Amino acid sequence: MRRAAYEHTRSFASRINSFQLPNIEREFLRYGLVAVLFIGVAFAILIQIVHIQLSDDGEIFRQNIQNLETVYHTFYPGRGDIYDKNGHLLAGSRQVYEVAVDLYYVRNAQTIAIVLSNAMRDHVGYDRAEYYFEVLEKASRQPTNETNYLVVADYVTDDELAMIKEIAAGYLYGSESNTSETPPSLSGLVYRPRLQRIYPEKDLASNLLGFTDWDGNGLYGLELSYNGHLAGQPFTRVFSVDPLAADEMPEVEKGGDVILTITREIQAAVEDILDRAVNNSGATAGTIVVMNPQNGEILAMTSSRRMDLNRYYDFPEIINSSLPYNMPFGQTYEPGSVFKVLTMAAALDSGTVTPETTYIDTGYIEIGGIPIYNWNYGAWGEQNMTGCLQHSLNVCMVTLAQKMTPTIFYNYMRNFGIGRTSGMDLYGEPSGRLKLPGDKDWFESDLGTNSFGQGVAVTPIQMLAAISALANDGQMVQPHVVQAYVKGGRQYTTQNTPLGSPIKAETARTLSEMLAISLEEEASDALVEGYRVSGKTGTAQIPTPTGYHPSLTNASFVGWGPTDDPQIMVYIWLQEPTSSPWGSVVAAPVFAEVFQRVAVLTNLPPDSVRIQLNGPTVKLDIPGAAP
Amino acid sequence: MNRPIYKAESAAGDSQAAAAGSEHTTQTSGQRPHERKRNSATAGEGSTRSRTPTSKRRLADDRAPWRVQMQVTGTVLLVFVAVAIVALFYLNVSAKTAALGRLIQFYTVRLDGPHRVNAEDPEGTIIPIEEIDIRIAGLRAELAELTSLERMEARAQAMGFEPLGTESIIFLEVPGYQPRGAISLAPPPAAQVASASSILPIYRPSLIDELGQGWSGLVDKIMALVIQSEEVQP
Repeated sequence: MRRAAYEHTRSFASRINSFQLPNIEREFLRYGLVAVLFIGVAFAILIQIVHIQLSDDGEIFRQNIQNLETVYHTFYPGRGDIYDKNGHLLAGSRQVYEVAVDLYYVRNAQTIAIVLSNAMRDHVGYDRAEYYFEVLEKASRQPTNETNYLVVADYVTDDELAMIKEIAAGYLYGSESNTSETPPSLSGLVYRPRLQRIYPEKDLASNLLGFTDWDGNGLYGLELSYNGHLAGQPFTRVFSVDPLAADEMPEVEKGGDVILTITREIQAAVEDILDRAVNNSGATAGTIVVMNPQNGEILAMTSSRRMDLNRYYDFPEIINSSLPYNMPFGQTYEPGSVFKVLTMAAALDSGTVTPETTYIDTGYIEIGGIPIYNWNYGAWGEQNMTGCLQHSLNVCMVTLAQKMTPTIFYNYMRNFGIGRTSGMDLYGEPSGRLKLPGDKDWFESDLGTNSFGQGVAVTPIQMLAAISALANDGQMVQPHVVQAYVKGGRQYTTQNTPLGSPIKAETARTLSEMLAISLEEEASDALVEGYRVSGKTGTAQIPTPTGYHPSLTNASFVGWGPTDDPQIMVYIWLQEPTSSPWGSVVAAPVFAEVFQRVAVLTNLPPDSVRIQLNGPTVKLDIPGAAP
Repeated sequence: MNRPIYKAESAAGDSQAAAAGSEHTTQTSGQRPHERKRNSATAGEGSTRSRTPTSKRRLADDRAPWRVQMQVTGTVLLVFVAVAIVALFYLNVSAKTAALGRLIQFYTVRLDGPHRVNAEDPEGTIIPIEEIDIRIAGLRAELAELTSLERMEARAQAMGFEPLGTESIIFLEVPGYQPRGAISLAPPPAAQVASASSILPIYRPSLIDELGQGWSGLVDKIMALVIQSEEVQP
């Protein structure tokens, strides 16, 4: 039995061995062949890889791959905003759209032209028929490597885009049923959002703010002066399409913001008053500037005519292009009698006269061979210096200038900044004109005419800067409209810049009191109920190439208050008023109205209340002062 | 009858043979003729009863080559599974990274160009930061228009308000009152902080960090279960 089992096992093993070993060898041979085949293929691939790398085509491949790996994207940071002092937006940006055609994907240019000309039929500056052909021409172009993206509509509003999308939805779901050769299609019509300048307050402070062009470049006013700060700097960044190489979002810093010293309520009130004043006086134009004489902050600044800044393309029709856009800042003129306060300040400060000094006014004086008369050609007899200001006597001013001598007079005028820019934080300030002894065109008679504001050219802002010394204890302040600016996530507050001390503090207070008295004595329309104010009217003849105009005048008024603690200073200039040529008639009441309104809006209590709260103030003993 | 003999021989023989299927034996009597012949040729007459483990293994491998194949296959499979597990984990992490990377890219800019008018969902679901900034600016302007002085005055007048005159104002002294100053849109200038990445470390986990987080989460769950079970017990 065991033998049989053994034989059986032996036979089995023998069969196994006789077949298995050759099978293994064959399999090994097959595997080997396959392995060799794979190795050969791999080697061939390797050779080809090396070949491609080293061949000329390799560089092309690498370039193509690099182009596909990255995407260039240009960021257009938004333009900075302009706010009033309380944070109300005066100039911002709104979302609009740029609609374009991607020529690679345009299937039916006609459809695109029809849809766009319908959707944009009410868009400003788009003529429907012309626009249709314009779009058709652009959309029909063949794409090239340089241009495959063509803008066909810009500054598209939300409503217009919604209409385009609505029509597009109809094509999207209805085009399958169309069996024509070139079915209607909006394929290739693309859009992307962008920003457009907007002025929420429309024409408020339009002369100060200015505006930008279509491309967002500042053209006038603050938009021009601070264009470098407001405009964001576009930059291009390369992005990898490889999601594993996604990098951090680059910091897209929009343009800096600007915070102004004006408040929209005061600005609107002043503009309203100016419009009525111009209308009532029949003036061709008007200007009002309100400033805090203690720090130079402009509280309001306006002139006529103004315009809705959102429709800036109407600019040529509204604004006289021969005149500066911002009249208070950019227009020089002969100020007339308001200039007398500077002459009197120089005379008092230099010790030439005191408030009590008297002189006999004969109504006539000759200087440099030129006769000078008072405004009414009358003689006013004995007058002290307060009376001199109160009656705005030209002869008195010439007398003071002569007594001071040209050197002293013009030194004071230069110290007051006459004939120089004030350095206000706006672009393009004219320097004005003050002829000086030694200049080729200076004559002795100029000393006389300059003393009462003729023959000099200043801007209202320069006059405010000079006269601020009278309202601020002898310290001139630099007018400015920018309270602070924001850049890089930080807010920088501007510093008040003193412009020097042309006169002593005592002189300033004395003169301020004299001017208050002169208004009170005269029962001027400039007086404000509840507040004691100082001020001076001005009526200046208008120079022409052939001399002064016989009837046209510039009516002005400069005033400030409360006299003992001036916080509001107002400059008014009405050009060529027809109801009356006199500043005392047309400009003085405007001052009263402006001061009262601004006092309410700045929470300035009447003098009685203020004195009650703060204690009595020292009143100077000035001859002629009311008890 | 053969089976007990093989068993006995297997029990007396080496364990390797037994593991190979109990059909091999180290006894000379159990050897097949050709093996004996080969053994005689290699080890001589005197070595027929004392073979080394190596030769035994070789003999076993010769007799059952599928054993080697199984071993090789098993080893390869083991390596393959190990590599697959690592690859799976790597793929999982890299897929998540890629998905988030793509999301970051889309949230950053529109890499695929402008919006298509005829797209079914032109707006898309992801709005990049760039366009969000534009929308915010637009909304700010819209709010300013809605609250412009002209509109506010019109509303106030419609509600019966009128401009206040000086005579209507009652001034009160409020101790410590600070008048309203200029608006503050941003903090004042401060010392510059050294430039640092705006991405917090929590958003930059390494593989070890992820493993650690997973482990911590697992431990926390287990601990929570343990605590829960202890609380359930009376």
